[in-house]
Amino acid sequence: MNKKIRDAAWLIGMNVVFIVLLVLFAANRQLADPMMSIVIPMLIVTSGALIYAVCFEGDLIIAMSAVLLLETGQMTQVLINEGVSSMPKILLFISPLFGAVCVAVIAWLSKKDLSGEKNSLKALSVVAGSVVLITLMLLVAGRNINGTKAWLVLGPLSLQLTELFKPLYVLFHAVLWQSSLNHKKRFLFSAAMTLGSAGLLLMINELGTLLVILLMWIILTFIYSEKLLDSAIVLGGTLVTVLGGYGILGLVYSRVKKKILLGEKPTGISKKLFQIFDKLRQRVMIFTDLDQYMIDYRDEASRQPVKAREMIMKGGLFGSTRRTTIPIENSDYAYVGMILRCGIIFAIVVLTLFFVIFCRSLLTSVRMENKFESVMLTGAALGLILPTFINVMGTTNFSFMTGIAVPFISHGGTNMLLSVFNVMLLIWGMAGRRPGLVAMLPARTVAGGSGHEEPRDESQDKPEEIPFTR
Amino acid sequence: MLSKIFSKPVNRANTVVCCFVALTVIFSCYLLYYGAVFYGVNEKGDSLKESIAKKEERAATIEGSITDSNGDVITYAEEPGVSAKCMHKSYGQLVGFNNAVYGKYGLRGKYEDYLMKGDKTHHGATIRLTTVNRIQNLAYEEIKGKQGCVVVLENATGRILALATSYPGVEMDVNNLSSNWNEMNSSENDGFLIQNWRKALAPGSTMKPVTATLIYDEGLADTVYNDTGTEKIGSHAFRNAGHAINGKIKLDKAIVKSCNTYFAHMSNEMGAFKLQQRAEDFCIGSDLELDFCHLHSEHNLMTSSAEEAAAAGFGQGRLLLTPVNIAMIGEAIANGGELKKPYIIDSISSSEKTLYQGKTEVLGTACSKESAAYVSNAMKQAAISYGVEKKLGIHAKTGTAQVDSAYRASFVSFNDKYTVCIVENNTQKAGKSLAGSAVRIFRELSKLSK
Repeated sequence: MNKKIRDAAWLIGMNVVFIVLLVLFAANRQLADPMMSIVIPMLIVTSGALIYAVCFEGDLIIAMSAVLLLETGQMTQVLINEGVSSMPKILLFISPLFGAVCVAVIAWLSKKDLSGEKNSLKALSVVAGSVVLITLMLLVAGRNINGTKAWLVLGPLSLQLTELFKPLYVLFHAVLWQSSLNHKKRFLFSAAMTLGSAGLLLMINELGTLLVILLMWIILTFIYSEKLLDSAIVLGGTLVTVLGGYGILGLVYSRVKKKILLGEKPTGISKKLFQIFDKLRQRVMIFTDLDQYMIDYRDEASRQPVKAREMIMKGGLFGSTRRTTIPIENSDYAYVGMILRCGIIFAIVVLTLFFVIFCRSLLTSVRMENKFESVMLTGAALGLILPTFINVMGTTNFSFMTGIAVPFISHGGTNMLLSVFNVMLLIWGMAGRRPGLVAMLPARTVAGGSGHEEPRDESQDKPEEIPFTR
Repeated sequence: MLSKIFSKPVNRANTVVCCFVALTVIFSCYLLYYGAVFYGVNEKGDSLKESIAKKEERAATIEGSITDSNGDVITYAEEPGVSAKCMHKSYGQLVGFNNAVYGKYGLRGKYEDYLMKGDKTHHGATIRLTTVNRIQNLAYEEIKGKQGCVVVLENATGRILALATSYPGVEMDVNNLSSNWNEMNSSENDGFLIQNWRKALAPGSTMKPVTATLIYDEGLADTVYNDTGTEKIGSHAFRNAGHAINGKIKLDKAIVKSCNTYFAHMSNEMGAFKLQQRAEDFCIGSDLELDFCHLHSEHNLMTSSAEEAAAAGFGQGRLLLTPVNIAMIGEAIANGGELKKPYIIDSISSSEKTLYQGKTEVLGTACSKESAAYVSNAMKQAAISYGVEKKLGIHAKTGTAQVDSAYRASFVSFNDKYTVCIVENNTQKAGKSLAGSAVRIFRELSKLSK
């Protein structure tokens, strides 16, 4: 009980301080109605997080970091939209519910015996099939935005289905790693899933998610594979495929370009490959020769990298009220928008929060005996940090630009749902076994450190020690 | 040993974490560098930051106006952050633009610091040109659709009353650059050199007045030359236009008849050194920085052969002049040999004070008063021979230079007050075809004096 009160006090105290700071900051920036835009939604979210973290006795640091990131994201969106939160408030209610449902499914799956070859192959087929189904839905009915067919519109809802690739990919590998398949089969299935996903993502021009999938593959193979050689093969193979693929696409591109100059219209697969390479070429040019890119592409969108730099310079260390308008500032360029308004120091702190979540999760998950849960948690951590780093490095021209959103910070309903799910999965995964609300959940064991943790008898009163979460 | 360390997933996870730590630290340092947070660390970033600050200041400023000498508006902006509108297409290439996408060009690019620096009322400074709108518009109409330009100077002061340029099929609309940017910027148009007033090509016979002043100052004006239609110098035989044979002529008749053989012979007699010096006296062959552009002409006879030096005497060979240079020749002769520097900025003033005042500048004495008077008189006879009415009091000299497979036609003319130079490049017509345009401009100029 003392621990619960202590955790609750920490969360409430931290949030009160942060919300007060946010209100003062918003008032200083002369926002319209910060109370409705920031405070009330934050109180609602915080209460939910409080209940979840305290009742489930999840990792307090992760819970605090996640709540801080959620509040920061809301504040950023309000600042970018000049005083109004563009995200529907109802999403703040739906996200934890959605996350809870998904976590329950994962918990149920972790109880099931999927280690047998037959069961694991069935599960793998279902997951792979889901990925193919999503791709087909997008190819047939997806909405094309900026050359990417990642959205499915269902009435008032617009779902970015490519976001589901990441958790499904992780789920596939979680089932794979806990199965009894031999090492060779495991490697081949992993490679097939990765290459298949990559091909499907290329078809819908979703290069950001493709990059995340490739990096996940490299990191998961490095951590979990029995042989180090697998990691070398994966890394080398990925580099060769990427560079070779770029070269081949380049050849196709120049051939098609010649035909266009002669008045021929490209069709079918050559048109598709032409579009893919053109997009890649633009991204490479932005990174390597921004001046030439500005000359070759004179539309408003081409000025984004220059404007992004302008925003970083104007923002300085502590933020500014100076303005620069940039397309899609609330989604792809949300991090840069945050730098403009809150400063580089604040942005680095935000990045550090992501890193804290990732570190704590990874160093705990890797010690778990249950491979399924271990891979799920590692994947959830990667699902948070990889898009973050890819986006912030791309929009600041530290690496290639991709159209991927930052969890919690960028505008996007699907992004919010899955980010909250990832965090809730991490909190659940790190929690010890407790009576009451958590009785239905399976026991989670944490191996390594001070020793193997056995599930304790429910009748005991003394609090449970859970290493690696404090 | 590596495989032993990495045999445990925990160690591998630690490696991944370390990689992300390193990446976070490197990225944080990069962000501070990229944002030019600390002055002096990132020079490129620092200058970019300064230009951003400048841009912001300018976005809050109403762009200053450009007017003609009478105060009539040429460009005008009503709101801050909105590009000024140019009210006359004839000024397009001269006033240029200052555009976030297409960059800076013309007077609006060169004088950005005046036009875009706001005073207390957040207005940029006003630039008053020496031009007269109706003369400029007329000059533009005369050259429109051709590849060429018109330069009108006020002899006594060097003020430019009109400076119009044109290119066939490409009309620069500075109020709507995207409409034909590619055509304007095409390599077929020599890139962006549609500012034909600084395009240096062979001047043709409009160079003869320069050589003529030298002939006179050398005391050779009365030397009789027997023109047989051919003058052989070195291995080359020079001929007159249309293979004309003029018989026994002196300098004045040679100017009127535009006799190539006479000038080739006399140039050869005087030598390359004297020709070079006289050209330099007229500011030919050296760079000249004007208040609206940089002029570059070429006249280097010291490494030329005898034939090339002789050809330069009548405006061919290794000789490249801009239309402004040709206009300066006329202006110098009209001024009795005194060469005045052309200028187009009359004044720049804010709401509080005058920031800049344009003034007449004498570059030097190009030739003696006597030689100028002699050549001027001969050019008056030449103008009459072109069909120009005597009562108009116009002195003129045509030029038709061979440039690749076409001609550069030029017509330099002056009266006691003004000099008008019209040049048309890449044409099959002779310089005489431009006489009518010059006369119309002079008629309009005469209304200014009334």
